[in-house]
Amino acid sequence: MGKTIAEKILSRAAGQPVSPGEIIFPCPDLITVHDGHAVNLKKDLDEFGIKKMWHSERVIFSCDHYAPLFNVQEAERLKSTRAFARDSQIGWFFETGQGNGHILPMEHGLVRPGMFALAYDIHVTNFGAVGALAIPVNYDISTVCALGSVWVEVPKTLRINLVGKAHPSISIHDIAQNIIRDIGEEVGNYTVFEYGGPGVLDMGFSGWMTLCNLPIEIGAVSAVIEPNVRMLEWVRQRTQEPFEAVWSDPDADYESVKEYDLSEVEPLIAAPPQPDNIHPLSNYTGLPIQVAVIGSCVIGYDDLKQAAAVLNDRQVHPNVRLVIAPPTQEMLQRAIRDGLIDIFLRAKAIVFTPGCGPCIGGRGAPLADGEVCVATITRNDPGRMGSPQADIYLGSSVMVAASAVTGRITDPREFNQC
Amino acid sequence: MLNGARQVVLRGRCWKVGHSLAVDGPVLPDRFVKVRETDPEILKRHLFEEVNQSFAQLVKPGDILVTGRRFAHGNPHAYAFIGMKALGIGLVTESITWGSFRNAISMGVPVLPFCPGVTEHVSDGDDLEVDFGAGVVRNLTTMLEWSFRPLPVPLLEIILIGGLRQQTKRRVMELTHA
Repeated sequence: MGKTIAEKILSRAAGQPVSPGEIIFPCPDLITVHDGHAVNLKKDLDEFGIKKMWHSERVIFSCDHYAPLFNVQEAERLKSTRAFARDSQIGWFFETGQGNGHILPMEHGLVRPGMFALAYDIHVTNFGAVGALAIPVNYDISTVCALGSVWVEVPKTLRINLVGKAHPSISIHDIAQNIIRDIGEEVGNYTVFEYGGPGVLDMGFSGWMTLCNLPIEIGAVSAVIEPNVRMLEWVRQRTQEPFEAVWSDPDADYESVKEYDLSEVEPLIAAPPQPDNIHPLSNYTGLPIQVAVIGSCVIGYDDLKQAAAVLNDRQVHPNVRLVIAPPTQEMLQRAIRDGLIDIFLRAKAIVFTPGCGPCIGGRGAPLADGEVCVATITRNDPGRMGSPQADIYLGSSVMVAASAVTGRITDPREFNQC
Repeated sequence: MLNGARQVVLRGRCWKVGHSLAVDGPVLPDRFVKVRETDPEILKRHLFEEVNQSFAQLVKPGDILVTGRRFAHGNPHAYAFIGMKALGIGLVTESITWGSFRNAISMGVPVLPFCPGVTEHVSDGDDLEVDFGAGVVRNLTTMLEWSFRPLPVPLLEIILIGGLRQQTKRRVMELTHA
C-alpha cells in the first residue's frame, strides 16, 4: 500500500517507513515559537539543564503576538526574547511588526515543499500551503528544543479534492468553512487534510493558507496542499535552496476521499462560541455590528484585495470601527503599491500593524461588553478579543468588509447588487 | 496505584460528564486561563466547578473521569490537566481533541483517548478499575469490563515518570552523564 504526503514526510523525518497509529519521534527541519512562549521556553530549557538548543539554526522566533508593543512590560518581554534568541544563536528572529509567524517563514523561503516542522502554536498548519507538513505540539516544543524530537502519533490522511468554480463573491474562507463543517470533528480529529484537484490549482498561495488554517479547529493534526506547478514556482521565487516536493502514491491509503464542487458553496459564518459553529450566513444577516476586523493568519493578500473591491468608493458605517491588519509587511507593501491602503483609508478604516494583534486579546480592536464583531480571525471563544460579553462572528474578508459598510451582517452577494 | 513496571492501573469512583465539554469554561473556568494560573494546588480545586460543584470537594486520587465525545475541545490550554495531575485522577474519553490529548500526556495524566460508547457502560458513582496499558475498563459495580485501544508504551512511559517535563529532565541528565 502506498503512502500519503504526510506519511512520506514523517517517514523521512523519523528515518523509517511509518504508518498511521504508530508513535514516532520525528526530527523537524524547522521549529517555530512565538513571542508569547519564547520566555517560557527559556525557563524550561534552564530547568532541563540545557545549555545548547538542539539544532538552534532550525529555530524560528516570530514576535507577532505582541504587535505592536503596548507597554513597558511587553518591551521587557521582547528584550528578554531577543537576548534569548541571540544567546541561543537561533536561525531566524522576526521582529515585532514584521508580521505573522505562520506566514513570514514561507514568504522568506524558509519553508519549502517536503519539509517537516514542529511548532508551539496551532496555526502553523499554514505551512501546508507550500507542501510542507507542520504539526503543533503546544508546550512540548520545549522538549523538541532540548532533545530534537517528541512523540507524534502518525495521523490518518483525509484526501479532499476540489472541483468546479465558485461564485465570484464566494471566498476561499467560505470554502474552507464548508469543508470543516461537512467533515466535522468526529471524522476530522487526529487527521491530516490533504487538498488537491483543479479547484485548488485555481486559488494560489493566499487561498491555500486559508484551506490549511481552518482544519485544526475540528481537531485535525495538520493540513497540506498537494504540490502543483504554481506552488513550486511561488517557492522558487523566494529561495535558491533545493527542495524535494512530495506527492502521495497513487495507491495511498487514505482514511477517506471527499470531493467538493465549489459552485455549490454558499456564504457561511461561524457564530459564537467556537469556530466550527458554522451556519449559512443568511441565518445572521441584518444583525447590527460595532466592530469589524480583517487580519490574522487565516487570510492572505487576495483577501485584502477582495475587501478593497468592496470598500472602494464606499465608507465604513458610522457605528462601526473597521480594523485592517495586513498579516505581514510584505502584504502591506504590496497593498500600498496596488492602492489598497488608499482605498481602506478613504473608507475610514483603521490600518493596523502586521501580526496577530487583533486576533489575540483584540489588540487594536478590543471589544466592549455587548458589542458584536465580525472578523476574519482564527477563533471566536468568548473573551478572545476583550469582553467575554461580546460576540465574535467569523467569516470571509468580503463579508466583513460589506458588513462594515452597512453596519449589519451582510451577504456580500446582495451588497454587490446595491 | 501505579503498579509495577510499565503498568498504569487506577481504581476509584467514576465521575461521568457529557459530550463536548470545552477545555476553557466547563473543564476549568476561564478566569484561571486568563491569568495563566499554573499552581496545581489552586487549579485542582476549581476543575469542573461550572458543571459539578461537588467534584472538587469529593474527588479522590485514583478516581476516574469518564467523558463523552470531544472532551476538552477549544484552544489547547494545559491548565486543566495540571489540575487533574495534582488530583491524581485518570481520564477515559469517548474522544478527546488532539491538542488536549497531547497536554494530558505531557502533564502526566493517564488517559484512554478512544473509548466509543464508554459512557453508556458506566454510571456516575460506580467503582471502576482502568488498566491504561491494556486498554481495559472494568466496572466493579456491575462486574462488566470492556476493551479499548490501549495507551501506547512510549506514552505510558511518560505517565509513569510523572509527565514529559520529568522525562525530558531525566533524558537530559542521562545524555549529560553518558
